[in-house]
Amino acid sequence: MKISEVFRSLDLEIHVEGDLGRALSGGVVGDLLSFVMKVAGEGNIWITVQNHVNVAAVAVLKEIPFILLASGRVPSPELVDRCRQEGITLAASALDAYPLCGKLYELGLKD
Amino acid sequence: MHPLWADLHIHTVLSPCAELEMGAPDIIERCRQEEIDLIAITDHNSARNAKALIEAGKLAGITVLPGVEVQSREDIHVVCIFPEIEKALSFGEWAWGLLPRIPNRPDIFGMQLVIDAQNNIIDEVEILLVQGIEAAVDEIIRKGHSMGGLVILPHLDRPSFSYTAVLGILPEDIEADALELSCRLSEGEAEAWKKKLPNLPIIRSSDAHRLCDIKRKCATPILADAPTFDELCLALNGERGRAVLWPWVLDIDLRI
Repeated sequence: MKISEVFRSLDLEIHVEGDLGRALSGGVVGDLLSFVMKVAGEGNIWITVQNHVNVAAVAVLKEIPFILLASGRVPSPELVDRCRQEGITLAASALDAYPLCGKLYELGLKD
Repeated sequence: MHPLWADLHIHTVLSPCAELEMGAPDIIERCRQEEIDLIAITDHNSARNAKALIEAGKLAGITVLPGVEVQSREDIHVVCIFPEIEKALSFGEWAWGLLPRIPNRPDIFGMQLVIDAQNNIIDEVEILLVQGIEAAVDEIIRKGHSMGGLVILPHLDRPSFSYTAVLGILPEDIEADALELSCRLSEGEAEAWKKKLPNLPIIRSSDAHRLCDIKRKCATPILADAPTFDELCLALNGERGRAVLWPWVLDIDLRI
């Protein structure tokens, strides 16, 4: 599934558009940077409520192309800037992480 | 008893997030200019640059205590400070053994350099030091104490990497020796924190990542006989006339 398909299917606020044609390999959910650093896979979508600028650094390290902030979190200006610099797609949803994951699973993103 | 200024949370070029200007003679010179008497070097998950700073500090008459800022499994930072370099290095080895083997990317996080007292580069650490080790925050506190260290919970007012940010309210029986607030707080805000956290001494540290972060108004005045580890312990415990003075008093001038 491509990032653009997630955009079409979910009601998201888009903060940074990276490569929307990039295919997602699966997803990771977590707010602890150290945890995500360990478990995330390349090409994952990352669902989190953490909006520290270091989120972008971890995304670069793990080759995560898409950060999705849950629960109506507003990204910090530093996070927006860093995502823009790194070409990482950044969006936010009013939904909590659990229903967001359910919707992504229904869309076929099951890993 | 003398009034002394202490900054117990300073990073060096070993911390990837610190600027490359954070070398040994440079940090010491900056402390000398700011008339800070006692510092602790607390890089992320490693004590390997403390020796260089201790040596550089001796020449300038500034006491440098070796320490480590450990990151827990929950992404909580814990500052542990030791009386001797051997203990700090041994504690650092313990943390290193529990650190996931994810390589550093200097282009993202910065370089991790081990230096000597003259800023010669001795080694570069290739595993990323800013990660959580495989230990919970309470285990780290216990380990720090069991190895003879002082344990400080840093930057409790910050929204990331602090006990309060990750786990919320601090338990009343938390086994720390002091709590650190950042120097960004106003006096009123600091007073509000003091009311919330009445059980332990509150200090202020710079958490310096750049030389310009090191300044008196980011340090803590203490009353003590000399700038030593033992005197610091007495001051934190408020014993034998030693004390931690409240750092947020305006216009404080303790120069003698």
